[in-house]
Amino acid sequence: MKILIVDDSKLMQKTIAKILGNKFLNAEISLASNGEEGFALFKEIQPDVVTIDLLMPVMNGIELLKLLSKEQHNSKLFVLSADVQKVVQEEVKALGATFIAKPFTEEKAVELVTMIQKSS
Amino acid sequence: MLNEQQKDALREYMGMYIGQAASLLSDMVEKRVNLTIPDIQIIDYKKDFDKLELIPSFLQSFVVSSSIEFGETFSGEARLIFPKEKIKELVKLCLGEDDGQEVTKLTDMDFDAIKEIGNIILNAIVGSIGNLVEVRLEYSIPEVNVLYLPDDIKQVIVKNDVYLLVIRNSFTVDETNIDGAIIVVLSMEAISELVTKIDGVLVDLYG
Repeated sequence: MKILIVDDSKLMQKTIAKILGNKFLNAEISLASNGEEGFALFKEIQPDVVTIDLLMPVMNGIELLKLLSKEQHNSKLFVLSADVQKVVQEEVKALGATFIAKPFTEEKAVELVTMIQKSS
Repeated sequence: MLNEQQKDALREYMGMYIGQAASLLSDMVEKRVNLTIPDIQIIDYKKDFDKLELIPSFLQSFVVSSSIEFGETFSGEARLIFPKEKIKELVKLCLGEDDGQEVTKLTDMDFDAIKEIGNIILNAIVGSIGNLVEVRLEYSIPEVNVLYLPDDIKQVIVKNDVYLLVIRNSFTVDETNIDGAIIVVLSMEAISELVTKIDGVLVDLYG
């Protein structure tokens, strides 16, 4: 399984990578710190799963999702964000991603892993 | 500028949103978070006022502040502030790590953790205000600064509108001696929109 984590926080990159790496032992995990890097890596590695933060420098998560929506792909997209605004969550859903609210607790991690397992 | 009913309603809403934010902090540190009732003030920024009133006594020293700015017309900023000497303890609680080492210097990872904690807490409050007034808010990237208060107070409130709404609250993480504060500052236009919304709620309630 190929997993791409797009988040400007090194802490979140490390946390998500650790949780998903422990669960999906043979996964190849790639990291990007903003939407622009994320899009470039996405086209290069064609990941099965992408986790995306919304608030990032250079290119934010919504802009990345809009670019991804124009690509042909079978990747499962998850947005991990602290943004509680309903209008944002609806836009994320409309752009084809599943919204998971931060903080990324144990329960949320189980939820994400379960959704990944169901999709694969 | 605000009557008692409006202040009461605003205090109630802010209490709810800060409570939700505290719940998220509680999830992260796995401890109860005890809150004070939010204090709401309209500040006339042009006049001299005692800015020290905004800063609780436990924050009058070196502090670490995580902040976001938001909005264009409905604009403001929100800040989460902790005493600098408590940051290591807070980060360890959030990460669930304690290597037993007494390292006092803040690392890049500590600042990253505080930025993320601030992002989550402040989004919970500001985003809820956005939901209330039905305005989509765009945020700046969170910033983390080390400040010395009260000397650096002008970095805490950078808006220079004539009137600012300042919402202030402090909290304590149970079983620790970690105290913190949240300060939300809204511009005049934001105050006007928020009050209009609250007036609508009050009309529904009181007729």
